[in-house]
Amino acid sequence: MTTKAMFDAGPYRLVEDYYYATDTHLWVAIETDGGTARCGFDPLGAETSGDIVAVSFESVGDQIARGEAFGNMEAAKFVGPLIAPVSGTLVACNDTVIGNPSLLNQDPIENWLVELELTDMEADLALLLHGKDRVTAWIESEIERFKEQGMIAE
Amino acid sequence: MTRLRLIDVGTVGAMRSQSLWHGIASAMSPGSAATLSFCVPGEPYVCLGYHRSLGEIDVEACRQQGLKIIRRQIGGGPVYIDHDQLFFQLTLPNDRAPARVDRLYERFLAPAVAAFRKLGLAAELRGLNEIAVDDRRLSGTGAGQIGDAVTVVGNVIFRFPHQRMAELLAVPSERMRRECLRLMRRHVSSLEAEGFSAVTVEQAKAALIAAYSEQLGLRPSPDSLNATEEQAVARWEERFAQPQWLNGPALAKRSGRQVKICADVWTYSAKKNGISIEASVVGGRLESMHVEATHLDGVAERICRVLVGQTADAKSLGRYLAPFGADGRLVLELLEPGLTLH
Repeated sequence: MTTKAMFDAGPYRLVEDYYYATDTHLWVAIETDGGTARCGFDPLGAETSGDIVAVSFESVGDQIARGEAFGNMEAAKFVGPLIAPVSGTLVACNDTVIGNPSLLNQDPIENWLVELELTDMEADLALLLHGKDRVTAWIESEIERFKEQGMIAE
Repeated sequence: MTRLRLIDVGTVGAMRSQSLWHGIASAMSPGSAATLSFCVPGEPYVCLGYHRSLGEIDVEACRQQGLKIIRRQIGGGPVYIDHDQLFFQLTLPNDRAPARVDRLYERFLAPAVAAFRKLGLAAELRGLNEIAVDDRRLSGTGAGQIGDAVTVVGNVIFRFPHQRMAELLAVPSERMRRECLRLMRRHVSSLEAEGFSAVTVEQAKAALIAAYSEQLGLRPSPDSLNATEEQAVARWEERFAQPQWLNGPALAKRSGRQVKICADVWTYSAKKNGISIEASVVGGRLESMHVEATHLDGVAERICRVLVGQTADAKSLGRYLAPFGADGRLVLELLEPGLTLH
């Protein structure tokens, strides 16, 4: 098992190699094969989602375009779509989080949602945030924004 | 002052009572006006939350009684719907709703609470999203993001047939069904049960319109569905009719059977290795408990006696069960998944 290089962004621990979707608060991790990617919640996304009680995903084999829902999540009787940060074919869903969705709140970095075989990797990754400094600056601004909106505690 | 669109379609069929607001949400775009919609379901049916198993409903009983089953795109468990309920839904563009779910409910259910109070009930928002008088639920609520819109839904229950609802649940034993009925009678209320049977649908609507427009600072503006919304409503009706939609998404298999009655009231049943347990949690405590196992003889009764009234958490109950040795451990193992609300 390879160790991920982590860094602190505000109170959160993030992975250096990951790409971050600023609109949906999901991370994207390119797998070692270079053609597939896993997606999961970033810690701020997990915190502001509330206590997640259910997740469900589209079927393996489905084509998902960036910006389309690859599944749904539920917290406090609120059901919301999980929006794909990249385009691709859904090749795997994480059964562990389907069975125990609270893991997504407990450790959103380790507990991925789905794996996609990417169809337009270069173009999609260019739209995501990458790199310790840029991600830290973004997370810090998001924390301020969420604090102003009363979404997270001071 | 920006307007609050009012869409009132009156009494409609089962499908339309759900497709109406799903369609309004689907057709909404970022610049759209907030919309408060109303309908009264003209035929009885059973409605199931998006992430719930069809196995929670006695599908055969529904079929025999001619009741449709409709899966909605918002959360929560199975509910019995009929013409004694008024549905109301506030739908607005996603970017105008708080992203955090507790804030969403706080902001958009507060007007509904105010409306109930205007009608004379001592309603309050309990927990995140329950409109209640004391420990009695007055309104079923839920929310979801559909397309570019967020919708927060609720109902005004004029009277509620607890027995019929209990009969439509799929439960492992008649004892559990009776327990569901007992808890529902105590914790699921209605205007009639609260002594407000004189309130009419029109009065309830008027109170909701006044409260939502005042609290959101919007001018009420009666309207009707536009062509885009009509098309979206029709698409939802097609979707609701598809067996794949009704069957729902792939879900994890849960241990035991849990039936939620209201915010902090539920009952749970599980069976393993010749032991069956049934337990009800009310306000964080085990309110009732039944253990059945031939090999436990009189021990089962003693176990129930020590557990009833205790705080419903595994650690605490474990201490009370420790003196019962292996039998106590088996009971705890069975009980533990039911101590938290799924």
